[in-house]
Amino acid sequence: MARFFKRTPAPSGAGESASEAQPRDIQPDPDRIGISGSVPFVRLPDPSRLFADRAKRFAALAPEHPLGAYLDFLARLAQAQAKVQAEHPFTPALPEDGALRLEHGMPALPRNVVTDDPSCLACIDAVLAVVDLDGAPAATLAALDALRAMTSEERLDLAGQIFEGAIPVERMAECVFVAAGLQVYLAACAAVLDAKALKPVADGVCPCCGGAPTASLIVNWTPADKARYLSCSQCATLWNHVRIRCTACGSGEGVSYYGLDEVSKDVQVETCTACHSYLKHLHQHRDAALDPIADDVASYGLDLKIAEEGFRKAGLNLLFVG
Amino acid sequence: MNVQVSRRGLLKGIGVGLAGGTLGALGFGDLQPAAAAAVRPFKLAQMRETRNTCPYCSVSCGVILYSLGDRSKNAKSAVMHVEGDPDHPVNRGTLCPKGSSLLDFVRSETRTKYPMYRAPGTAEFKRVSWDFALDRITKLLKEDRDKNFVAKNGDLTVNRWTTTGFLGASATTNETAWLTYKTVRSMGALVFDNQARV
Repeated sequence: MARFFKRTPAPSGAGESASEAQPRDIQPDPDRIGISGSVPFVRLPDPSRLFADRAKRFAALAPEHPLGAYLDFLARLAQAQAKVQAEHPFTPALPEDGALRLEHGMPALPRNVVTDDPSCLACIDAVLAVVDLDGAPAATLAALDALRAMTSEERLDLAGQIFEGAIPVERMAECVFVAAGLQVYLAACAAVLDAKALKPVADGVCPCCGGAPTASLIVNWTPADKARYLSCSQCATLWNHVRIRCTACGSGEGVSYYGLDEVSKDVQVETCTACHSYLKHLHQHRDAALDPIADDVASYGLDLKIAEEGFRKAGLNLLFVG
Repeated sequence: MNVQVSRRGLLKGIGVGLAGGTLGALGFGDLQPAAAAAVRPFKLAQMRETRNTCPYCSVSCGVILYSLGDRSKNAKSAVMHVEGDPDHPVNRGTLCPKGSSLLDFVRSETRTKYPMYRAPGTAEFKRVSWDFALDRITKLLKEDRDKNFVAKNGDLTVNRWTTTGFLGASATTNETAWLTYKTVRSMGALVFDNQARV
């Protein structure tokens, strides 16, 4: 809640706590009444909470869900991400030409942060080392073994391909683990960027890393109540996108929202009849626990239903490419 | 970003061929039929969101109208909810108590939905066509203007018409406002105001 009143400075010697301020000291401050004139363009991720919260969300969604086993696997993967984030601190090597990139309307993080910074490979390898796959299917274990048997150049090459949005079809299983490591690395990179310097790149393109959005969130935080933010599939940056406008083609005509009311009214898809694409649309202002990646997987039934109507998915979930 | 969409579409096409993309590749492919079966009995509910401008006052707050039903099909549409538009620079998602009650305004039984006419000496309004309404307004304006138009004040040409007034609406665009001004002033009308100024 915004502060509606400004307090006079406490007399010296008096306690700092607000409870000691007397009502007569409170002065009206009309400038602060109401809302700010604009919403922040980006909200950078907080890696220290991001993966731990996501792991909790996956674990909460898994019981009695048709995809329960897969959600449980992703909960373990997110736990591994949280562990790597907490136990392998590093300073990301940000590009020196950052200001130039922003000036020319490019995303802040280029591909060579992935391929040149040894911390990126360290994150991927750490995720492979700590992930706990007890009871996972043979194919999952085989993918993990295949990754561990690869040379580090091959793993890094896979990360580069994921960063470019060209997931090799024959390596989809391996890509899930590499993407998990890449998310840890890119979230740390995005977290240290200057949010005020970032500028819009294009519709549906992350201003930090150039990634595609996973889902659209109607958020509930104070300066941007009920504004819409897109959540990056790679670096988890949230960036503002005007509501009722297609995130893939920018058209405002023919935008509709579909949902399965019997399952959840807080998870919908935003469809566009101009480009026949859709994106998950999560009402985080009604249910703050909704996580773009976890709830995208959990609402897979909605994907199946909307595909029957002839819409294609415009969002990308690196842990669940379908 | 149509390039991006088509590339994703291609990826999706390949993924389906590979027994459910990541699910199949990681050995969870047998979960897919259960996921499909779980949603099969349910029907997709469509909701539309439409931007509009609050009609009450000159602040002209942006609102979003939430409606059920697809306008392109035969289903009947109905406004379900009205909310401030968070992207609108004027109100940033907020609404005053009048604006918050717009849904009742939309659904009100006494709301005027078409031209109504109460003939002299009768007790009630009757629905009339737009042609009838516009013809009648034009005729009355002309009658009044012919009777009361002041062309000269002594030797000075004034060309004024002060017995009829005109009030513009709050949600007019610049273009509508320009046309309204030109139309009303060209008739010599001086009593002219706009809700957007009030």
